[in-house]
Order: sequence, then structure tokens, then C-alpha cells
Amino acid sequence: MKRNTNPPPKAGEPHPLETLYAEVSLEPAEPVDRADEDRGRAFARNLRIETSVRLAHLRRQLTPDRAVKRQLAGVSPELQALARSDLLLRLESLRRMPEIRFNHLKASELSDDDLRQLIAELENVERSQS
Amino acid sequence: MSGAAGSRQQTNAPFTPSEAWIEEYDNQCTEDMLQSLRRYAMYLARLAGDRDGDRGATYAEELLQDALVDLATGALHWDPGGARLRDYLEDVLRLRARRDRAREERQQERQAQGHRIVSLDALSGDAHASVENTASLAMEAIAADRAAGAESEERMTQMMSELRVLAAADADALRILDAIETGGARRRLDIKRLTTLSTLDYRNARRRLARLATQVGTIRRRMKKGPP
Repeated sequence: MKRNTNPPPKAGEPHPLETLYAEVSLEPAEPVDRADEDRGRAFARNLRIETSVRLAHLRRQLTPDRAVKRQLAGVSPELQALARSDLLLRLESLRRMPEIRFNHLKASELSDDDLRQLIAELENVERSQS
Repeated sequence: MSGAAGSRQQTNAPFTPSEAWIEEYDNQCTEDMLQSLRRYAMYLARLAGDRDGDRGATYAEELLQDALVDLATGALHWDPGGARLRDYLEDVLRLRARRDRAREERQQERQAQGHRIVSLDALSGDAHASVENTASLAMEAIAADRAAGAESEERMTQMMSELRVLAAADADALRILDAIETGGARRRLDIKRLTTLSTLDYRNARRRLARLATQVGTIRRRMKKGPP
């Protein structure tokens, strides 16, 4: 296994205030700021989706055949049949949804199957919210 | 992109973690964890000058996103056998936020002193005569970094004292502060154990303390900005 040899972050002792912040951040403050919690939930969901795509990419590097099968689970035949240009159009329309934000996603770096997987996950989110 | 950009080292070989690493990452990287890390990063953002409201949220989100990107590209090395993902990411966020604060404090100090900020990268051939001066500025930057660290430490201690004043009427919240400050607890289980509170009382006190923690930053910023 190849591993990056960068050292881990040098974890200087946290200040008590930083320890307290870590502890109180486990739950929302009371009374709850609903708007910020909603923003945080949407952010976490999108970040989790981005993470899934990245992990799918890492899996594919390991064992391509197995990874592709796993990655494409949940992708509809209709999505499977779309060409890259259509996939990009569909992704663009999903990205216009106010609750979906990507700051690090470059579609040009994703394979067609990555795009299908991402669209399938986003459409799942959309369905669950509607 | 704000100063939240991570320090990534460039490598030619692609990052190829083991399947076990990927599985652990996949299992531990939950939406709940990401949401609470975002809250944590927002608290850290409040430690620096005027990062509150939307600006603080945006900074916190970039800080967390950058950390995850660096993990997935191998720029950060997380060992699942060594620490839980949450604990590791808390360390990353804390250290990067400290670095950003020190950098900003140094920049503000220089601006206040009327220094022009010169980057070695920006030096042209005609500017070689000023290299010696730039090198001394670099030395100054190192010293300022150290000074900013001490200043930041002092400010956090002061904020902790202010928090204690705000929580004066809340005995359970004070127990949590005591466990961390006096008891020296750093791990979650130790903090709770030292308070001797029931799980319900502990959680309620923690939520009240969370609100007070946001107020400390707000009061400090208002004092800094002066009356409206």
C-alpha cells in the first residue's frame, strides 16, 4: 500500500477553551439557532456526498471491477444510458438547487460513472426532501 | 478561498489508501460528525477578530472542506488505528485555525506599523537590492508568529474567565468548566466523569454553556468595535 509520508499534524496541547469548544459543539446551543442548524445540516449532507464520490474514486484505484460494481449501485438504467454531455447538463440543473452547494467539485475531474453516482445521490436527496 | 486553505505537500504518486482505511473513513465520516465539526470550526472562527455571522460560517465550512480534501488526497495522514476520525479532524481544525489567527494578527500588526508586505516570490530582478531587507522581515515574521501565539493564548484564557463570570449562576455549567480548567480533563469521557453529573444534567448544562460560549465572543467583538 502506498501511503503519503507527511507527518500528522503536530497536536500541541489544546487550550482549555478549545477543549470546551470541542465539547459544546457536539450539540446545538440552547436555544437552537434553527437557520444556522439548517444550513449546517445541508452543508454536512453535501460534504458527505462529496466524500462518497472521493471514496468511490479511491476504491476504484484499488480494485477497478469490484469498485465499479459497488459505485454504480443505485444508478438507474436511464441514468446509465446518458452520455457525458447529458450527465453534465443534469448535474448543472441539480446544482442550481438552493440547498446544494459544491465548493470543491470539478466535474472535469470526474469520470462518467462518478457523475452518474453523484447525480443518483443528489436525486435521492431531492426526493427525500420533496 | 480564505486563509483556511490547508498546507498540502505536492507528491507525484497518487494517494492509494488500503480498503480498510477507506472503509473506516466511510464509516466514521457521518453527517452528524460533519455538522458538529462545523460548529466546532465556527467557535474557532469566533476567536479571530471579526469572523462572526455569515463570514464565520463560511470560514468554518472552508476549513472543514479543506481538511477533508487533504485527507482524501493524502496531504493529511490519518491513521485509523491511532485516533478516531473526529478527534483527528478536531486537531487539524484547531491547529489550522491557530495558524490563520497568528497570520492575521501578524498582518494587522504590520499594517498598523505601516509596513509594506513583500513576498519573496514577488521579487523581480530589479528588486534584488532589497533582499537583505526582506530577509530581516522574514525573521520578524517568525518572531511575530511566536508573539501572536502567546497573545492568542492569553486571550483564550481571558475569554475562559469571562465565560466563568457569565456562567456564575449555573452550578452544573461551572462543573464542566472546573473539570476542564481545574481538573485538566481533555477527553470527553474524563470531562463528564469529573463533573459527576447525570447524563441528562450534563447534556443540558453543555447546551447552556454552548450558548454562553457564543456570547463571550460577541461581547468581546462589540467592545473592540466600540459603541454603534
